[in-house]
Amino acid sequence: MKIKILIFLATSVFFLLSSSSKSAIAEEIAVVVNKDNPVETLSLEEVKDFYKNNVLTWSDGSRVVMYDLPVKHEVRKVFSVVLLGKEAKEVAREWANKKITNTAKNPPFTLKSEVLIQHKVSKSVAAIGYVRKSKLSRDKVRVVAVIK
Amino acid sequence: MMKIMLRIFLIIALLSPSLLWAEEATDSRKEIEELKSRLEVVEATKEKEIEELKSRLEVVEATNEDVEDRLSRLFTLSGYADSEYIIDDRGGKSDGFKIHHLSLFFKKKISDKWKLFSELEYEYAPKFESGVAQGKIFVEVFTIDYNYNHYINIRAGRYLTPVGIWNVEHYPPFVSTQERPQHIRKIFPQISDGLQFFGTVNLGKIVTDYIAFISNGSDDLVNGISDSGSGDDNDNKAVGGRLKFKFPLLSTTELGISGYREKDNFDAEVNASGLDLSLQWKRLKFQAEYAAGSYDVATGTDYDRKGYYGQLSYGIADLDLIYRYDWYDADDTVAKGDKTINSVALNYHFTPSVVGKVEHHVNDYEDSAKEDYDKTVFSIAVYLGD
Repeated sequence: MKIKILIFLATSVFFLLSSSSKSAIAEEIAVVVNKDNPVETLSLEEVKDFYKNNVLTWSDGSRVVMYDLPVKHEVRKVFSVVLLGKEAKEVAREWANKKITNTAKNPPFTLKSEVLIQHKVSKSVAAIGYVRKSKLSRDKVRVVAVIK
Repeated sequence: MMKIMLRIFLIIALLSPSLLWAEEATDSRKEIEELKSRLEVVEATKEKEIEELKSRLEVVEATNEDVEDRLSRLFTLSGYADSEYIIDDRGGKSDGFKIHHLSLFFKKKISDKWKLFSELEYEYAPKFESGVAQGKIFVEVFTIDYNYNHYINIRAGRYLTPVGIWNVEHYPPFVSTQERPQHIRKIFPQISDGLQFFGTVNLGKIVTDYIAFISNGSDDLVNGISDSGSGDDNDNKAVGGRLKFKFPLLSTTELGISGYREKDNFDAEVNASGLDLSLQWKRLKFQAEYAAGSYDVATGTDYDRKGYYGQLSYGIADLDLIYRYDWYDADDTVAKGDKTINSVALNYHFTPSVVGKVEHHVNDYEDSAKEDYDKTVFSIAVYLGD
């Protein structure tokens, strides 16, 4: 019994020591939609509802197409923590769990870069994404919310 | 004469810069005209290049869209695998490694409305050789979905019985322990063959997910023989459903209510219900489930079966610390038939798809005649997904 407890404690210490700290960006994040989308502004609560699948459609009934950055992307890390209240890795695990159990309603599509997100958003009226303000191409997309 | 000479000299002196400037102005105009024409040539070339680039971009975008469309219509293969080392205190049980699961998921988006999903599970490294079989190959899930809209969807085939939390969300890369709580699969069947209707309705800020299903039911639910899903051979179909309310409180606040009714092959009628709750505040999570079933058996005494668990976990960076209290009573007419398991576990998430777990379970029987025991499981589970 003592040996088991020791093994358990040793494993705990190993895992704790292996845990890494996080870094973050200090820049505003713009939530963007297609220029033809009639929505002018969104509250952060509304953006959160889309990304948490609490709301699945725009007011005209069309399905929301959400774009996300990769889990390791610094902007995704900030977006997850500030808006969704969870770390990006945890949110990724939740989506994977939903996909594996066939219960995912409307998962976001992951794209590699902010440039690609803006390109995709500019091509679909139902799309929504997020980029750093410094990476914004205002001729392509419209800002509907800002995460500070 | 001198005066005339002086006047001429003055006129020349005054006119010569003007003549020089005029000459310079003529040269500048020529240069401007030349530059203008060169600029026109450059602009024309640029415009041509821009047009060429635009048309190339259109081709690339069209190709990309075509590739994306083709990819989305291909079969998607994903899955999970896990391996364990188990230390069990009970006499006759030897410690050892176990290749537990290798499950493959096939998904296909047939069209925007139609979707196919299946899970083929290989359990305990199956081997069939010279008439000897070991392990298990099992079609755990096979469904065809018709997604009309988010209010109404239809699913036909074999599915994880959509009741409670753990019965559906049970895959090793995403659950805290390899050992499941005791009442799971013993009150509600693990899988069902039938038809589901499901969707989402927002009641103000409360998101409500509903599932209603009709299925064959179990072969012998009293003795827990319900795995085949197709073994039920009576005309009484099982019916059930779940309502899940997602409240805008904390990071997660979800409350679920489940119900199930069936008559199995031995005419045992089962009426079961369950409650589940998920809460999350920052990295602190609480998950609990309660289920109870009343069994009206054809021969013998009717009885109730009950079970519940409460699980608390806290995350520090990539590490989750977990504690679970789990209680189960298989038959309320049997004296001292309860069993309690206290579990502690550590989950270390190497990546969002790879988790290492250590779990220790202290099993206590209410009946002192039965030997209490401990079980420790070391495991690694991997999600093979996108």
